Amino acid sequence: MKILVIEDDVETAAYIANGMNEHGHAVDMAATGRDGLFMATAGPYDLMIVDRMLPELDGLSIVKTIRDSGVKTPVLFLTALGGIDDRVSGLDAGGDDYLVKPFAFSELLARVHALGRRPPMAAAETVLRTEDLEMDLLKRTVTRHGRKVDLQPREFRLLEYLMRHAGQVVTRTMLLEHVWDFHFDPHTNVVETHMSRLRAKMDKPFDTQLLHTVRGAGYSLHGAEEASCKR
Amino acid sequence: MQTLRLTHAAPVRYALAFAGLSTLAMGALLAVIYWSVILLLEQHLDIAIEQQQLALRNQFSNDGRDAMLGLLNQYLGDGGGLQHYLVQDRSGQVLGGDLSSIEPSLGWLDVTISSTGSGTDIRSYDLRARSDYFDEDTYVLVALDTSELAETSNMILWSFGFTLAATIAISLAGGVAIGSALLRRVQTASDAARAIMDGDLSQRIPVAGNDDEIDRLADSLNQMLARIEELMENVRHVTSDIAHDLRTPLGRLRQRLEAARLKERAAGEYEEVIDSAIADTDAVLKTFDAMLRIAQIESGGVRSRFARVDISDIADNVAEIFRPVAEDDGKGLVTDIETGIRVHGDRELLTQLLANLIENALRHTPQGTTVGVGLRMDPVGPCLVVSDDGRGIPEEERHQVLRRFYRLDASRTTPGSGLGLSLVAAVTKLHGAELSMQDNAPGLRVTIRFSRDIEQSTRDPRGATLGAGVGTTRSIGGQRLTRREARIRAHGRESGGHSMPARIEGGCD
Repeated sequence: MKILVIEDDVETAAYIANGMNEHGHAVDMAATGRDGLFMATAGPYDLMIVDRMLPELDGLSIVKTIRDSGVKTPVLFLTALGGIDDRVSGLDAGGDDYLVKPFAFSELLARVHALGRRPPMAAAETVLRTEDLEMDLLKRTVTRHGRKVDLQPREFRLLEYLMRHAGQVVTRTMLLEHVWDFHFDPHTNVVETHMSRLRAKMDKPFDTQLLHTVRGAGYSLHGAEEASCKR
Repeated sequence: MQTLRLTHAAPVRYALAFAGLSTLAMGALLAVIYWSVILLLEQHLDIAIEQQQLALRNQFSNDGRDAMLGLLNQYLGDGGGLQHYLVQDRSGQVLGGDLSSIEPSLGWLDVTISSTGSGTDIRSYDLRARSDYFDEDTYVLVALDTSELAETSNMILWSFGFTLAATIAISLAGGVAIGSALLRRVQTASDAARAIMDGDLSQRIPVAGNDDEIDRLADSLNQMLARIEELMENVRHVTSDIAHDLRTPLGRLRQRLEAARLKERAAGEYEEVIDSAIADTDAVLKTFDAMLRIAQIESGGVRSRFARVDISDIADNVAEIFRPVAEDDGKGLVTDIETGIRVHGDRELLTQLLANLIENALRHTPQGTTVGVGLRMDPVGPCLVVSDDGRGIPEEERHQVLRRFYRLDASRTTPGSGLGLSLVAAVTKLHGAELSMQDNAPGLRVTIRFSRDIEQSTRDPRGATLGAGVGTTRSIGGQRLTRREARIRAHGRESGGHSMPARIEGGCD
């Protein structure tokens, strides 16, 4: 992917750029809001990582401006504020995701991948498939290897999210935000508990394992042969 | 300097203005009185003159000039020196009376005429007179001495002047006295404020004890000061608590890094050390994050984002999310949630509030505990209860646990920042709700009462009837109760038969 990073903190920008390069992405960097806006409108990018607080022109204004001029590139906001309002205002301005500084690189990478591979909105799928796992979104049923898997509504939602991001790493925080609508970090092992229950229903009774724990990062739903290439 | 300050002081300015105004009012009053009295006296004078002239004219026309002159002389004798007369003929020859002749003019006159006689006997009088020709050759002037009137008038003027002067003097002196008394009290308050600014937060503004406006002002200021002192104390506490709580993980982090540095290690070992260092750092960052969040909530800015949220839905959701967590932990979670209850608030924060309360109940209780989540519409408003049948919190420590970083001795060893309940308290306050903690006998019961949403009763009649029904009889919501029981029963089977904690449904009382 070609990624534009608009970030005035040199160390953070280098941290992001190095990490992304290591994972095979090309990174352009802008250190001021004005430069960032110029580069965002000039070249096509697959994704933009925009800091909220920037010299000359703040991140919100940049994203509002490029959205007004029709640029649909996915935007991930970075902020040091850790605020409650910031997430909403960022999304309102046209951002697609939001990450609070300081962050783990694995978290950023997972979100970048999730954003970069977002399927186009038009494709309204009714059936999701990963290997022999099948989810019918209309009938709300899940089958694996032709056998029905009984899931609670919340487990269904969890599995749906995992299947929509099959092959990608999904972090704990992403699950909390998108499956349970928790925009804070609970102290108990909510995610682990639900994961192990889901696993017991859709993985344990079968020969191959689809739901994998990625150490230090999160979870990933994938078959045996795509394990290496998708990370 | 003192006088300059006195004239600049508000109380003295008010006193001066007051003195001026009262002088003006007094002056106007006295002037009206003066003019009325003088007018009245002059009228009396005129009436007396007219009556005498009439009597003399009658005498003249009935009995002739000589009879009239006789009556006139009689009047002169009785008059006590105040009445004066002049009768003269056409040529100016004085025929009677005690005045010397004048150039005749008719009607009302204010004249000065000298008396008849010679040498030192001649006196001149200031007179009010009425004159007429009784016939062609008889000019009669009846007059009264106005010197007495003038004297009276002078006397009145003098006394009024004195009164006015006294008024000015008294109101000025009084104003200044009251003003400087006020000034003194304000000054003491100001001195106290200065002392407080200089750092002595225990200082208070003295209260005189006569329950007047100034006392009440001092009282309000003192209450404000008490609040400020409390807040400052809080800040001091929190600061030292932060320092203490963050020093521990940072110290541990440093130890680990140092230990790793001491000797050559395998790559895998380094990785392990780095991983644990990252985990330690994350714990510290998490604490900071929680602190910032609480601070942001306390600033109240989030309120602009408030909307109508279905708190029943939130409670259901959060309870459902935590039920498996409780079960894996060997605990139970039961709910008694009325549907369709809405409050004005923030979904995200209310979710976190409930999550924190449930987590708090799960984390500080032994295995086998049952946690209850109850929500219902009371006549006064929605009421949320999270209860457990664990160890509970000693009464004297209940309000303390809401404090940042406060942890009960018993839970010192369990992980956590000690900020969970502080956040709950902050969110509660933000929503204008009230938080209280009761003994669940055994265990703890946290009750949060939201104020009644006015729109709730008008927009959602179902909610209103439910709310009204709660206090009276449970059978109104019969169907609802059945549903609830069904849920509990179903859940009881699933979770291995946990019973309801003692008073989950009696939470709001």
